Amino acid sequence: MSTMSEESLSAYLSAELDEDVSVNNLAPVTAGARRINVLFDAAVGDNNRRLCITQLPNESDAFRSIPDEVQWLNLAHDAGMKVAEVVAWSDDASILGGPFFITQQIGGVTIPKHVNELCAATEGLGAKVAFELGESMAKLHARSIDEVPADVERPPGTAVEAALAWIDEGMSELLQRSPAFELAARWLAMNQPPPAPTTPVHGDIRNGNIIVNETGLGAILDWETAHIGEPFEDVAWLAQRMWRARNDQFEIGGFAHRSDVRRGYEAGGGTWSDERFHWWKVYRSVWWGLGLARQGRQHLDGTFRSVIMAASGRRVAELEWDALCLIQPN
Amino acid sequence: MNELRTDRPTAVELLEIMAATMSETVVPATAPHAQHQARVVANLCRVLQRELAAEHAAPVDLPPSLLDVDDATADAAYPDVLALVRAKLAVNKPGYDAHGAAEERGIVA
Repeated sequence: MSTMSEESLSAYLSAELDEDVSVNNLAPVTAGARRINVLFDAAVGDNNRRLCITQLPNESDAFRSIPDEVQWLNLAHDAGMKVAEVVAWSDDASILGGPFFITQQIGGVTIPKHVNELCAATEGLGAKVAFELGESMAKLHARSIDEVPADVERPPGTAVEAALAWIDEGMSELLQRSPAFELAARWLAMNQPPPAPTTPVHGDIRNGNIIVNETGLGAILDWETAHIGEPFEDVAWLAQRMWRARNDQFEIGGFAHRSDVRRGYEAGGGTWSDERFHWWKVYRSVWWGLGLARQGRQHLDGTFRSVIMAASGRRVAELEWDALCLIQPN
Repeated sequence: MNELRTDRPTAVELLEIMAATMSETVVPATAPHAQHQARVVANLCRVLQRELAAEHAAPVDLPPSLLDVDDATADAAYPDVLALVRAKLAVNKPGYDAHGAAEERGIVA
């Protein structure tokens, strides 16, 4: 078994591309427990290609297998979304010590605060990034669920029904009741939007999962949570307060307005609905609040003991607040 | 006579110096993989410090569940529930409630 090194990557890419490839300048950018991302240069003949490898060191911890994630990335690329194009991939752990995929490298910033600073310093950039996010999302939502990897769950009913069932489950698992989420769950049940077709959705498009540079949106990252759902599940996730890096005067990621996303979404062929946007915005606050409560519970019951998970339990009130603000009675 | 059962510094005073030590000394000297955890520990010390110093508000009387109540009951409970969450935020995330329902409506453009 090899581990990731200039030598092992050079040997793999030489065989894969059937050319003499020399890899250097390995630069790890993130090293989490579940995923490792490393930037590198690959000299292929006279060309220097700047690439990025994503590796799963412990396959059992991954949300999604490498072949599935690659299939999602290819679907997104074919749809015309802004994503990094896959150059090579393998689920053979003997090559580099864990399954991996390699994409082209896209320059720019990813840390939310830096994204907001760049947008604030560059005239029109925030609106452009939001427009391109809307456009990319619309292109994904226009695709058929038949293109989604076969082992991704096909929910039997509507996305709204699946969402409400998820809330029921999350509420029943709470260690103590949440009157705020009770009011929000009641509001969600009483204000359901009309049924809409399910589509492929990314599930986690937000400030923090995008590459932004001076020219606009570079790429949408992290397809681990892509699934079959409803378009506004994606669109409204962009507008959650927690992705604004405290820049609360801009609804979208702390750098743009809803109308910027809407223009891009419609330009990409999507149909906009403020009603659906609002319903999913409320839903996603409750969903994430219940998710944080679950993390706190997993710490307490020993499933995943960690100070980070414990602290999540104390962040639930932020999402209770967000949800209450969105459902304030007239 | 309760104050004679513990010594100074009090719990609140200890948590204040624990948070400061974590932030000023431990975090900068910690390897990157543990730095985030060290920051979270510092923040939790501040959370506990505020929790111990907070005055306990009068208990709120709410229906046993708000899931299946009528509109009038839900609307009547809303201000109490908001106050409950506001009190938690004062401990967990002070200042978060400065951006409320009116502000969130106001930024939609």
